[in-house]
Amino acid sequence: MNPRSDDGTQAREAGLIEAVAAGDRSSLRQLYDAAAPQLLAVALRIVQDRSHAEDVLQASFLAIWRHAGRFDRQRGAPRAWLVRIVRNQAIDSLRRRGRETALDPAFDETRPDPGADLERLAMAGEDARALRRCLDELEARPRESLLLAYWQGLTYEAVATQMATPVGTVKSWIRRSLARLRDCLER
Amino acid sequence: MANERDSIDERAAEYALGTLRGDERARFERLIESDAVAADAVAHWERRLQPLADALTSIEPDPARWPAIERALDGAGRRADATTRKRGLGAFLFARPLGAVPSVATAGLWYCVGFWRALGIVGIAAAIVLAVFTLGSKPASGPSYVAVLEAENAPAALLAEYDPNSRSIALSALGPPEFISDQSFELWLIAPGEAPESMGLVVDRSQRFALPRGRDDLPDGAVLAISVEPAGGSPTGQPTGPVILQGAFHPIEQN
Repeated sequence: MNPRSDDGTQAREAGLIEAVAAGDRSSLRQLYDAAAPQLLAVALRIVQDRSHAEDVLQASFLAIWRHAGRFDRQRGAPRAWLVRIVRNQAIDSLRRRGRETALDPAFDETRPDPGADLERLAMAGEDARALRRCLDELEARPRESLLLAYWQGLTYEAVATQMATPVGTVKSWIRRSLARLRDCLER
Repeated sequence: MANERDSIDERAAEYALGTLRGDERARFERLIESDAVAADAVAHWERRLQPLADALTSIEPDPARWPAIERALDGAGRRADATTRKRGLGAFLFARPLGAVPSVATAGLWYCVGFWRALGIVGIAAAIVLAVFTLGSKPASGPSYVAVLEAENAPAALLAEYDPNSRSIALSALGPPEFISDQSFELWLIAPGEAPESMGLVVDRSQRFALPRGRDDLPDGAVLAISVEPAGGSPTGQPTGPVILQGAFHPIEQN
């Protein structure tokens, strides 16, 4: 079982976010200790610069402090809520720095290896294995376009550039892949 | 109805994936706030895609990050909603009026004790002494430049030093910064006749900034400026708030 998604961890983190909403700073610290390493990995994959990624992490925790009251444990998983905040902060921060996407050829730190990341999916929990199985049902290029969009926070246009494919094709790949993923996961 | 629900689910999927951008994303975020169907659809998609985030290898943040977050929270005072936060800001005000303040809304920040403490209540002279000290101890190839960022009537300054070896700018002040959580300070590089280029947010008392993308050297006559922006930085890519500090780079003689 993936330790990040087991029920005990989820309940604990949901409780921490609720305590943060009530203004408890030590709960924010506990949430930081538990989640910051993963959230930094998410941010780094998108902005591709270590100190920029840490700026995003810092801004994200200030946003978590301010917006914790909006978290609703009936509705969403706590870690997914945290990841949403970090991804949006990272994407917005890139845009503010004048680029929609970070395609830095010099980016070397933890060089992304989508293949290895995909392999780890197969080893994680039940949800991850199901997602992996459904991703495997997609064709290679549409799957790659979807993973680029998620992991690197790329726009359709940037995915199209990176894959040397017309943007219209990329849009329909990604939209169709999402629909197929949903159907596969609900089977 | 079915069509509408499909379209909400499609947008929720694109939102969770990250490809819904700009106005479309902003509109959809407003919808999530008020529409349970849309909010549930997003939560569903985030849950489906979450294993992709879980698959990334964790990275330990710099240990200095948590203290920086705490300082930012301290600067904000007690967490509060928008109205009480404004009142909290008012509590930071000095009584003394200052001519250079552009608007009442930003005046609070200008007078904010925390911000000026952040810059260190140092005179310009002290900053220059520091400049000579730091530059004197460094071997350099190519010209070094230094700028003192200051404001009329302001009791403080920041020192910026350009290092041609790493092509980066080190910004330093005396004393840790404390920030108001709903505002950020953004550093800009301005080449003569060109639009300001963001170099990132000022979040620490001493911080190094890489030159903006596409610049491989400091432009002649470059000016640095710090503006007050919404939390997280300018939403437009250009300064939107008042410039509170600025200064031009000057070459330093090497010997």
